Formats: sequence, C-alpha cells, structure tokens
Amino acid sequence: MLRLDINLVFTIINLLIIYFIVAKFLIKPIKNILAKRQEEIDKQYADARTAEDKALELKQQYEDSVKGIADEKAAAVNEARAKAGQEYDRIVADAKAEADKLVDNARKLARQEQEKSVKQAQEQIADLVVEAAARVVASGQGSTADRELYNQFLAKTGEQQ
Amino acid sequence: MEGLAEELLAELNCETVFTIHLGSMDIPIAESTVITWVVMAVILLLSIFLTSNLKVHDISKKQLFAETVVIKLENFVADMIGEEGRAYVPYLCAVILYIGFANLIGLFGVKPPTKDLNVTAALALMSIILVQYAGIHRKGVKGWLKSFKEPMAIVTPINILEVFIKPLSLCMRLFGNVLGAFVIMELIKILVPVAIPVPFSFYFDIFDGLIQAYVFVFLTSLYIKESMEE
Repeated sequence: MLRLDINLVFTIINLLIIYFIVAKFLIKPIKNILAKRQEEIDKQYADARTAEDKALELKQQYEDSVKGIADEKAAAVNEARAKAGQEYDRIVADAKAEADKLVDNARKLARQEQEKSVKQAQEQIADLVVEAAARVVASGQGSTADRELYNQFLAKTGEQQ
Repeated sequence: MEGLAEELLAELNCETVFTIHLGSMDIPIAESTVITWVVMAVILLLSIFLTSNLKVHDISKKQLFAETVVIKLENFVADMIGEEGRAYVPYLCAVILYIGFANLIGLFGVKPPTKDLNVTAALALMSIILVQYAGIHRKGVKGWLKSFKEPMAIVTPINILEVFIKPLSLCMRLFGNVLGAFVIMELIKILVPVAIPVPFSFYFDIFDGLIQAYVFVFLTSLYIKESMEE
C-alpha cells in the first residue's frame, strides 16, 4: 500500500503517453474540425459581405439611372411645354393678324361703299339740279309754275332718297 | 473478526502482478501500472472512436458529443488556469481524464490505481515540475529565483518548503481520499454484500472520485497560475 518504487517512473511514462493520446487523438481532431468550421463561417461571412456590397452598388446604379430618367423626363416635359407655348403664341399671333386684316378689309370696304354712295348721291343731286334748272328755264311761267316745279323737285328728290 | 482484517489488508495491498527479470535486476510491475495501461487503452479507443469520421456539416450525435465534451472540458480547465496558461490546458485535460477514469474504474471491481502511492506521487511530481516549469518559462531563471523572496526575504525558507509541500499535499490528498473511500467500500461490501453498497458506491466511487480529479486539477492549475504571476 505505501510503497514507492520503479512503478512511479512507469506511471510518469504512462501519464506522458496519456497526455500524448489526449492531445493527439482527442483534442487535436476536434480543434481541427472546429477551426475548419470557423474558417467556413468566416468565408461565408466574407461572401455575404461581398454580395451585400455588390447589391448596394447595383442599387446605387439603379437609383442613379432612375434619377437620370426623371431628369430626362423633366427636361422633355419642359421642352415640350416651351414648344407648346411658342406654338400657342404663334397661333394666337397669326389669328390676331388675320383678324386685324379682316377687320381692316371690312373697314376699308365699308368706307369705299360709303364714299361710293355719297358720290352717287352727289351725282344724282347734281343731275337733279341740272334737270330742274333746265325745266325752270324751259317753262318760264311765273311764280305758280315755279312753285309747282319746286314741289315736283322736292317730291322727286324725296322719292329718290 | 480476524478473517475480516486479513481480507481487508489483502484488498488494501497493492500487488505486484508480474516481475520482469532484466539481467540481475528484478523489475516489479504493480497492479496500478497494469490498470493504468487499461485506462490508457480505454482513453485511446474512446478518443479514436469519438473523433473518427469527423465532418464540418451534418454532424452525427457522436461527433456532437465529442465536440461538447472537448469544448466543455477545455473551457472548464481554461477558466481555472486563465488565459496565460492556455498551453497547459491539454495536459490538465489529460490528467483530469486519467484520474476520473482511474477513480471510476473501481466500479468494475478493480482496485483504482490512484490507491497506489506510486501513482499519486507520480501525478504530484509531474504537477510540481509543471508548476516550476511554468514559472521559469514565464519569468526566466532569474525571475523564478527572485520569486522565492516574494513578498518578503524572510519568507524564503517557507517558499522553498512550499515547493515540496505542495506536491506532497496533492499526492496525499488524492491518495488518502481514494484509499479511505476504498477501505469504507470494502468494509461495507464485506459486511453487507447486497444492495447497501450501491448508494455508497455512488458517493465514494463516482462522486468522490470525480471530485478528487477536479480538486487535483484545480489545485495544479491554481499553482501554475500563481507561479506565473509577476
């Protein structure tokens, strides 16, 4: 029971062998597999990060292009609006010019007509005066005849007016 | 009554299983050494069985068990010894496994090797070599020698004594506990061979055995940690 001999040395050797066994056959393989798993997890993390970065980049690109489209659209709308405004102005101006022309023409025509009718009236009056004078001269029969002539002239003039 | 005493003494005695004759030298191989070989074989086979066919994905229950055991054991020891002593974790794991198995093997009716003073002395010797090595490795020979004067020069003799007291206490604690448990178990078995020994066996063979393995490793790691402190 209480003996110390060469078996102490054997036990030390045995202990060292057990240490070797545990370190080599139990801890090392498990550690290796855990390290491998960790490596894989790290790799997956790295991959995920790369994918995320890529996705963000794509999103940025997409947003940029969407923004570009919006800008283009706004520019196109502005251009169209400007064009439409010009067209509108032009049409209105044309119409105004046309209308002015028409009004001018009408005014001119009316004036010509007026002048023409005044001229006609004057001519007729002149004719009547000439006729009346001729009649007075031709009859020469006193004041009664004058009165009659005068009346006739008036009646004729009234008819013609 | 005399028969009982004789029986007990026979049980307590560590027999020499066989003797190797090497020239004029006789080398006795003790029971404890042979049983240690058995424990070694068990640990080796179990390790190989548990770590065979390891996979990264879709692990089997066996692998899960192996991983859990190794990680738990490592963390358990690493917690005691601290971050600086990581290099000594595998040795302490080996010791805790060996003592654990050696104490539990009593369940199979074999004499636990830790009942032999040779084994506990060897364990304690290894521990103290490791403790001193850790100190020298960490602080250098000069720092290690200087550490004997800490905290005061006057305690130097006590510090030197401690170098021998620590392993002696480790050795005797383990030896005494296992021997005491063994004696009580043998007494109970001789007196009442049926039923009664079962609960006692649970306590003395399993609980006490594992506690002693824990205490041994705990104290060793404590000493290592202490020797590495500046």
